[in-house]
Amino acid sequence: MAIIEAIATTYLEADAASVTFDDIPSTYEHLQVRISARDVSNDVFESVYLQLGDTGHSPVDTGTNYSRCYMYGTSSTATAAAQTGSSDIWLGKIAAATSNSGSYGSLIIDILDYANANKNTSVAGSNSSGTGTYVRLTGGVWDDTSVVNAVLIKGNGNVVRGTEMTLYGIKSS
Amino acid sequence: MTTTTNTDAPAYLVDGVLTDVEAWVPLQSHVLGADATGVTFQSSTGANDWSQYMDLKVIAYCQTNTEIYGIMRFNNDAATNYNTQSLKGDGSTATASNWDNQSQVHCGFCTKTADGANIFTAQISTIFDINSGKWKTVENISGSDQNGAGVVEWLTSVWRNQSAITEIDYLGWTGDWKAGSRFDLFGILPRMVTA
Repeated sequence: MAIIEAIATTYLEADAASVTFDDIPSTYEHLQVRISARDVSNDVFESVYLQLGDTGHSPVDTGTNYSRCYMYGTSSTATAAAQTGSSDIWLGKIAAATSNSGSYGSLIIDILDYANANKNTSVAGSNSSGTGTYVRLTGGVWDDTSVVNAVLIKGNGNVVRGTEMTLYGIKSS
Repeated sequence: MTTTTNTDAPAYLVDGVLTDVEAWVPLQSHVLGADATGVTFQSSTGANDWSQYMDLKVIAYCQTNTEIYGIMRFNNDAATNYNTQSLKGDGSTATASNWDNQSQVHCGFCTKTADGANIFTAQISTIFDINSGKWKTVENISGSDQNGAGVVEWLTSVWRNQSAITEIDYLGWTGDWKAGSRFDLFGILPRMVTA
């Protein structure tokens, strides 16, 4: 039995506003999403966000039920901040239209104990802009005890063709 | 140095049919029996043919003799084609630094022998979408606690090259890796079966 299984891979062949992994089975202990992505917005790098869903939301919760806490480094500045009552978890920044066309940001997002109906769902994310100028760590919470069955990743603008995202399931034994 | 390489047939191919298997595949390991300037991972055959993986992950547990940084180069490129952004904590202060046009990926501060013979540093590196036509993005986390002091560092680097990665050199910046250091490479598969 595999401990880490690839549940689904999405490779964008056209620009898209978001990527959704839906109908996620609750047979794993944890989930991980690994991303290589770029945004169409007219900037060096742009923000990328996460929303979660369950059977009561279709496909994800867009209400102000998320909190996020993060720190990042860019150039010689280190910054830490937090927000609550947000409509998503802000994961960081990915390369955008005015960066070199080869630049793609990266993210690794761990969604822990997602199938436990007695806990709010916590998320830990690491992020690189893919430009060599922005690095970030994020912690986030979805203030909902529902079993997660959908994960949505979206850019500030569209994410571009060539973007790749894979959802993994992690078993305990 | 003891080196092991996994050249078994890929497990996701069963009688010619794609199947879902373990997404993390151990590819190569180097364990140093004596000091060495660096270790090299190379793509070869079977499971160690890197062209079948989405990402690569290097887990290093290492110590240097004189210098402070672990570094990485791809495909023998030692030209100034790498940029790095760092976010670092030293126990009391968080700082950020940026280095453009470097000749290496910075993998983080690494303990040296003078810090304590048995104090090693954990460095974990992820290299994304290694077979794409993208510039290659790397995330590194490095933890080097020294029993009351030390450095924890989160770094990202970009290799300004669109080639598929087929070789990784993992080096001490100017010093040697000490005996006892080990370096393990894993390949990370995408979903192999169409839903």
